Amino acid sequence: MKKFIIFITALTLASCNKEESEEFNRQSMLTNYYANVIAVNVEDYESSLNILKSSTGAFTSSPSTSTLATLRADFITAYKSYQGIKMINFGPTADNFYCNHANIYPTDTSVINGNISSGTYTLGAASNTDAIGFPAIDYLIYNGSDTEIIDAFTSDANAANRITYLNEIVDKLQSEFIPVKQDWATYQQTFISATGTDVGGSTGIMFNAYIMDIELLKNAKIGIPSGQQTGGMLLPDYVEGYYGDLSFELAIASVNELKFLFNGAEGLGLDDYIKHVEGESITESLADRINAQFDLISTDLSSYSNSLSEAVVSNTSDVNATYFETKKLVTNIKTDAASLLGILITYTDSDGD
Amino acid sequence: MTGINELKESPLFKWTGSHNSSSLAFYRICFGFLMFFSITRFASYGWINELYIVPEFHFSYYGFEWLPYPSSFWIYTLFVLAFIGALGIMLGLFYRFSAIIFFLCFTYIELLDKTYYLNHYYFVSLIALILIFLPANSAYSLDKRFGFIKGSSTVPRWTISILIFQITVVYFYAGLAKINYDWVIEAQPLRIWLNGASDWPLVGNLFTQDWVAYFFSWFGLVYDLFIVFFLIVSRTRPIAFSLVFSFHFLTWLLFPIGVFPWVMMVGSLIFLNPETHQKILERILGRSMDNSRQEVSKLKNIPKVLISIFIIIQLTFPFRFLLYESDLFWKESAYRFGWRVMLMEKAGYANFYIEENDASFEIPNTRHLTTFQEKQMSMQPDMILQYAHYLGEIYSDTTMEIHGHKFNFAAPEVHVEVYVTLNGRTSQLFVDRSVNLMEVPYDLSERDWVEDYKE
Repeated sequence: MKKFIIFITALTLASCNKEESEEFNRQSMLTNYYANVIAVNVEDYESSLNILKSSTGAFTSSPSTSTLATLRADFITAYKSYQGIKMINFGPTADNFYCNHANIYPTDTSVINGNISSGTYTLGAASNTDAIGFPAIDYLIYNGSDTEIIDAFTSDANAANRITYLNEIVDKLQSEFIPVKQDWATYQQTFISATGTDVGGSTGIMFNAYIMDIELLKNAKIGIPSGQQTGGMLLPDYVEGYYGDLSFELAIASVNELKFLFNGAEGLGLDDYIKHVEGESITESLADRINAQFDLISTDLSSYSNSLSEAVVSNTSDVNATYFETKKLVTNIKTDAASLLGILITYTDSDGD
Repeated sequence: MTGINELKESPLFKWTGSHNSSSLAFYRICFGFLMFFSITRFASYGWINELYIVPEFHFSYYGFEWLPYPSSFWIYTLFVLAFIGALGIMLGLFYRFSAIIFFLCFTYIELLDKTYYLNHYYFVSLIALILIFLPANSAYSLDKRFGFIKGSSTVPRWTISILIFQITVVYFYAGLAKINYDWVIEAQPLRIWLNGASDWPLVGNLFTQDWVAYFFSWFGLVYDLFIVFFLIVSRTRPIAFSLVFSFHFLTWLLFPIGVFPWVMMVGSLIFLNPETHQKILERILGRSMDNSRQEVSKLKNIPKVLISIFIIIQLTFPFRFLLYESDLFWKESAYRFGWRVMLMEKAGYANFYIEENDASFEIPNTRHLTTFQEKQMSMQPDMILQYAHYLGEIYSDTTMEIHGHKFNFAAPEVHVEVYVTLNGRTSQLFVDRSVNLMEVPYDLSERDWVEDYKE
């Protein structure tokens, strides 16, 4: 027993010896994550939705090429900003089910048109999950020439209903985010203080949501349209932002957001955590390899001169190569990083085998 | 008596003679209580449903594929029976029947899905099996109080010996398994895992330091190898017990290992003096419980052959891995049932494809597996193969409708691409996509279809 007391005393004394004190700790990392990633993304997204809402109002009250152009620009900004929300699909974002119906694509155009012509629908109904959100807006403001679209909102028999529908789906995106934002403000303390690596630890919760989103980048954004999961059968209309040809732009935005989160903006992030665990003896940090992979994918996605729905048909092998790079990224994050950070993907007992 | 002599004369090495029956009763009560607690805990977390009812596919153990998978009603029934069995063991009521029920139900549950394999579950099954044959109800039991049995103040010594032997095997083999490069030289995986505790007050930043990882690794190794001997020798027993409790308590705080530390702490109580066992029981349950007679258990003459076989199996079974040339930690042939506890931080990423006539479908793992199953499967070759065969089976003679297009599969090939990371090293190719897993038999042979580990 005496020896045990000595041992504990030694431990305690050694811990007070701050000579080797490290700047990294999970508390600071989480504090940084809240302040500089989550709060920033939530704020940005909220304001992009407010702008989208007002430019939707401007367009629908006086449809013109200029109001349409403004609406589209604001739509793209909000859609890109959304990429930074769906990667934090945990805590209040998940509890409010915000991401469950904001971006289901491909959108169901016949349901949208049916809703518009009948004028009676419940947007929150399960049958309408693929008739609302960003993909539905994409369809309404991009499908056809500018003149056709403006006509659809002015001279068309269903113009009035269409105006209502567009305003309502934008409003839904915007109004449903208000409680998400409020809840994040109250969840802040919980998030920052759950510093453990146990079941309720914020690092693990955030990381698991992060893995899900990286897998979405690989599967939903690139894999499905390029036929990776469908026997090589190409599905060019299954891309995100199909009508506005926004797929690559959105994918790049998503990669940028994922990289932004990985590095904890400019502050303490998963990259620092990885380097901290690796110690100084390591020659090439996993964090650096992951960042290089983000850059590689980003450059890769920027290199296409056409849209993704065209590219899956005409540059199939290029898209396959891009897909392969995203798979490498998932491997790096889901195995190497998760392992190094001791993140529990599940939370039942284990004895490490 | 010197330590060596005491060891020689201890129940671990000397199996003949008799022993105070309080020791066995004490152990029986503790074990029963712990199992009672453990099952309650398991159920209260909702794990019965989550682990045994929700999953669509179950990773059976090699050789036990024939075990029928129970319906949800029978799953709950198994747990209830195991629970009742644990209570029966604790109270010493219908003891032998309770022990049999507990052993059968608990082991049945464990055999349903190897995703949840844990060394301490194996240990529990073994102890339960042993308890069936021991007269652990001969003192401080309801069986005795109600007059179902006569009871006895002594029990044959081998009944204590075999329990001590089993605990010795667990510790000693766990220690042997730690003698490997990663554990001793790299202090892995503890170096990684200890980081998890870096947010502890006061001592937190210690866990991020190399010397602490080495200290824990080496201490753990020496502890596992020798603790039993220090528990046996009376002079070192107090310090050994304080080590057992502080060590396991610390591991309980540090790692998500459930009831394992408690199983080991309670398990080590068998090393207390028989007189101590008796005193504790008398204080709690009163002397009245034990109006003993000198009655010798009928099981005194259990066939020596049976015991010998058990001992030989226990001593040799963990060494099955020697029959394989492949890297034990990488391909994991004969890894389980070898007391290899907390030796690896391993994770994998597996993408499965079913292919036929140039058509190749990626089947997302979450479509058929739970997150837990996916995690375990992605790094363990036998589970990868089992799952591949399952995919081949369910997608044969089927028409798949995906995104409005129909595909017919007669007998698809199943391929997988897996990357695995071990103890913090960069992940590397584990299974190459070129292999058709439908052609790889699921058996005990060398896992040549898994890539070799490259330094």
